[in-house]
Amino acid sequence: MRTPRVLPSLDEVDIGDHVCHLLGRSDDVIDRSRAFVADGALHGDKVVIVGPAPRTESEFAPLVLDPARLQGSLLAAVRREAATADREGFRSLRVLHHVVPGPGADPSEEWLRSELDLEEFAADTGAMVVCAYSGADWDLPALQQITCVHPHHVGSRPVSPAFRVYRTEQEGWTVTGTVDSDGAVAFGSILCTLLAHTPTVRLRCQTVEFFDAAGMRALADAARHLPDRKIVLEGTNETVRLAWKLSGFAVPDVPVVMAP
Amino acid sequence: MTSSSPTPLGSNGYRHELYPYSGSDEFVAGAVGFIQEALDSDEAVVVAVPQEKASLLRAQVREGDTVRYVDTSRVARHPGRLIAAWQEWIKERVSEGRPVRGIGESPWDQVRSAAEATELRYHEWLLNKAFAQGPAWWLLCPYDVARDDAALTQMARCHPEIRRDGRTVLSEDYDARAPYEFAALTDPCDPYDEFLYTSGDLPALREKIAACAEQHGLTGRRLRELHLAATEVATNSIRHGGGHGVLRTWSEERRLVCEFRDAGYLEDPLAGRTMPTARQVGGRGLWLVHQLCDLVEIRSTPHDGTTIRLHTELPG
Repeated sequence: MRTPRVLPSLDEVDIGDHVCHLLGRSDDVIDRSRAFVADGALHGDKVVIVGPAPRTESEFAPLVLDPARLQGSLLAAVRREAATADREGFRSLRVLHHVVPGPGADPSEEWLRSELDLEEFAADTGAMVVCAYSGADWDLPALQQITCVHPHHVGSRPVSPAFRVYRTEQEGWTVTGTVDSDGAVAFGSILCTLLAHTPTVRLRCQTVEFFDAAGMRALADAARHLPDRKIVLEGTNETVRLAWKLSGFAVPDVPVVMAP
Repeated sequence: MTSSSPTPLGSNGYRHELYPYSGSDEFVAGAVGFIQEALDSDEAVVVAVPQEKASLLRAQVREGDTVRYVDTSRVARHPGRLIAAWQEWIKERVSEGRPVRGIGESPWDQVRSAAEATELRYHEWLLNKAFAQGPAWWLLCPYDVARDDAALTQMARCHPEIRRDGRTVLSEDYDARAPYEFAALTDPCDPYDEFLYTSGDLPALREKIAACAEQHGLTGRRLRELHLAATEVATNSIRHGGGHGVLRTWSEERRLVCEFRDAGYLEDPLAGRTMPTARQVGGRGLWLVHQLCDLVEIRSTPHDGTTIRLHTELPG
């Protein structure tokens, strides 16, 4: 069972981890991740660096996958690399993803989709994925949302999300922590992104500490965002179920199932 | 018994009448007379009174399609829940297209505190606002005059009409345009804890409340419900009350009290007292607060800001 944790350093990254690595504004991604890349050889892992191609000569240049030059999605590319690693007898695939904001109209939706894909990929294949975010590229609210979809976290910047959504099994996601007015928008965005790709989203809620009215409204709005979608919450406590009912959401018009 | 209708009240004909009585015989006589008037006019009746009072009436008037006795146990001692309960109780009868009457009496002899009595009377006053725009119905509120005269005068201020000697007369103490005259909130009991909160402090606020609650044995489901209610109130402070507020917690008379003060003004006195719909954008926070707490006191003026007290009964 995957569980969220804060890692003291990238040395602690383990099979199936999806790590959010928050870097300071002046930090160099490769310098700060050198040990993670180097450890690939130590453990017999294939290493891929996803990010802009280096502008100067670099020892890591052969490992770089530049998203701008990819044919197809990033997810398809890392899946191919994982399959290759498996065929070639590597223990696993190590992905260092240097995430830079895209030029699209709504970059937040784009990165969220990408991160959820990578989270599912890491959980399903056992690949180790480290997503490096430089503070120079992202503002604090964006970084706080980013950390919500990573079960693991490393870095000097003390950004701790109120809740996390992460993959725990083939068909399900786990929510942990607190979903209140501070995180309701992010929670709704994550659910809408998940529902865009699957008609039913299962959320294990055994470790949800708290759900307020704003969080519940985000849940209801997300469930109604697209037609023929459904969200199933498993392991909800009686207070969550009571508040959902009291809030007027326990009606057929809101395709959400709340189960103990 | 016949009752005259001294004046059409409200634009939609909602009538709210106080019935002072003394002893069970007078209670039964007045209430049965009111029901009989309804039956004679083919009107539906909803009876929402304490169980022992309902038993007295059932012996005289059996439940049927026309007269319905409702269970008030879940809401009777929670003034903030009563308007929504009445809306629900009369909804079906109103939809039948028949005129509807109601008989409603709070369990005044079981009231736990002066604060609860004040809130029950305030609820009576708010009923006039809640049904000012509809639907049309007529509520009779029996009230035992064995209680002190001052309390009866306060009740009369909340009812546009009074039933005296079988006749309905206008209440001279009721002024539809006057604001409700609250008594000042009591001072917090010593010792109390204080915590200033602003954006980002909701987890810390919940921890403060948990620490205080656990000292008094409040844990599990009841603590989770208090956390939810407290979060909704504090969120309102942060979003609409000037960005910050002050939490005070203390215990009194086997109750934990959480008080929130901020600079905001809650303009609608009915906020949180009617059930939200699934499509409603906001307005769930205070609704949940009323549903989850044992008693809620709200005082709000443009000059002094808003003070909200959440009362939770302590175990044991």
